Amino acid sequence: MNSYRYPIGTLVADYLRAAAGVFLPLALMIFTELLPLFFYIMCALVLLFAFYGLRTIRRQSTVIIVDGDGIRQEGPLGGVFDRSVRWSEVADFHLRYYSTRRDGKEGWMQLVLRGAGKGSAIRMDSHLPGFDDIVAKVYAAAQQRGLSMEPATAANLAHLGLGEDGGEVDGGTTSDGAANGSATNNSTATDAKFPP
Amino acid sequence: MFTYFTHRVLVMIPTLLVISVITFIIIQLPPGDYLSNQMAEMIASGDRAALEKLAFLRQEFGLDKPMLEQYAVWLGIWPGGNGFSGILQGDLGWSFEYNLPVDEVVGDRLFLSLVLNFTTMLFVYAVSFPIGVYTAVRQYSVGDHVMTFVGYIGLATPNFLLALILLFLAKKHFGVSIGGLMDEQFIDQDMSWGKFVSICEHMVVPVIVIGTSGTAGMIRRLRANLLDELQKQYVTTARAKGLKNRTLLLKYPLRMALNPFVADIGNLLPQMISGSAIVAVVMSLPTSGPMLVSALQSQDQYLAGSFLLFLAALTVVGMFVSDLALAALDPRIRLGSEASK
Repeated sequence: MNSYRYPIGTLVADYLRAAAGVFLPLALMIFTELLPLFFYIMCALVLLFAFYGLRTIRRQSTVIIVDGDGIRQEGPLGGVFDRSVRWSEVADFHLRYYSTRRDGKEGWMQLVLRGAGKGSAIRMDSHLPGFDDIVAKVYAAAQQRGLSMEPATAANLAHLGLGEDGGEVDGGTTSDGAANGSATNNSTATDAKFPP
Repeated sequence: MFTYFTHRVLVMIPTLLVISVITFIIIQLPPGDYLSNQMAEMIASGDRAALEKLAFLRQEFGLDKPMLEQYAVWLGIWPGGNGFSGILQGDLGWSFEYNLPVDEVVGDRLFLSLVLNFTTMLFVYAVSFPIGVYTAVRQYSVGDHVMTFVGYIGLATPNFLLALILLFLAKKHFGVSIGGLMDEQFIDQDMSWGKFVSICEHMVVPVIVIGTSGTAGMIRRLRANLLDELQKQYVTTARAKGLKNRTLLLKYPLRMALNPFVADIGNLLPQMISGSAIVAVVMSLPTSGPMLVSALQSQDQYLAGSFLLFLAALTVVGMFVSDLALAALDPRIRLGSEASK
């Protein structure tokens, strides 16, 4: 059984973002008399980044536990955010990549995993140590269940060295060619191919 | 997606700030300002009273202050003579050329610019999408050749030339003047149903003129992307498995081909805005373009700055929408040159 937590270094950056997003608009709202339009925009920004801050707190106290049976997310507030998906019940997964830079670098991946019940989605991103291993395990489980993937997920898996020969994956393919062994053996390739 | 949205908002705000700083610096780069130019003329005519008045105005509007302070006061993040009174407070500054507050000079030009460019964008997408799909699916058909020919004409014809041709044809054959964005009786009037209808009627030609090149370019891009997708193996496989053409097209190749189409929202907006400035001069449109040109020529810094900031904000918001749509549509990893497609 392996458990993973978000490192505090990553979260500090998010806390700083949240603080900047809350306090700068708030300062403008308090110290200057804004035009109503800008006032509402600032209010929206404060709410947005306050929610972002709360979400970061939740991430800080979230533990992802992976074992032979499945994957579990244990969150704060007495289990409100707890989720679990058995490997044998993986119903759907998406691997998405986001970057705010024009050249697409320095982005992050997000894994969304759903079990039999559509509401129980487990989400994590590539800032989580061991993310690559988790993706490989999810991919292996999806392979075993013969799940189809959306083109973006297939392409992102290929960049991680998973999927069909690690090359470009055409849209609409169901990557059912790779063996489970190759999925779990690719953690080093994953590290090498993941963008900075 | 929420994290991406938040990060993207955080990127957008400094971008806007940097653009506004650069805008302000560029406006001030030529030596002197509007008042010092006026002063030179008055010194030549020996008008001593006016000189004192101009010195007073320089102090009043803070033109004797450092550039950074002028900028901060103009933006409304630093107190000036009247406390915090800048763009964030709804005070766009003073137009020296018109001797009026900028918001009174601008009137509804900014709104009309927004409406015109937004409508043009809708026109570009509404026209280019079906034609782009048709020409790709029916490659080398008569319809494809005709559309391709029209597309090349649209790409090769400068907007202002098309505007002049349409002005000429409308006057010669229909005896009507299609200049302006509304009938004369509605100018400087509050918005009413009659004014709205008049704006809609007058907007048809400018929208076609401004949108033609964008539409043509978009058709070419969508056609090329869709053709590229249609030739991939998964399409052949899906056809071999008996998937209906329409279902196949809508489900996979079209979605893939839409990426550059969506990504172009951000590029299209600045192109249209800069293109529409020249068209606005030719067609006498009461949009921001002609007044911006005049303000830049006369160094009417607050008027020019307000326009440029508005246009920059529009562009940055366009890029923001485009990036969000792209991230939602196809969140796959793209690095280097691949990412900028």
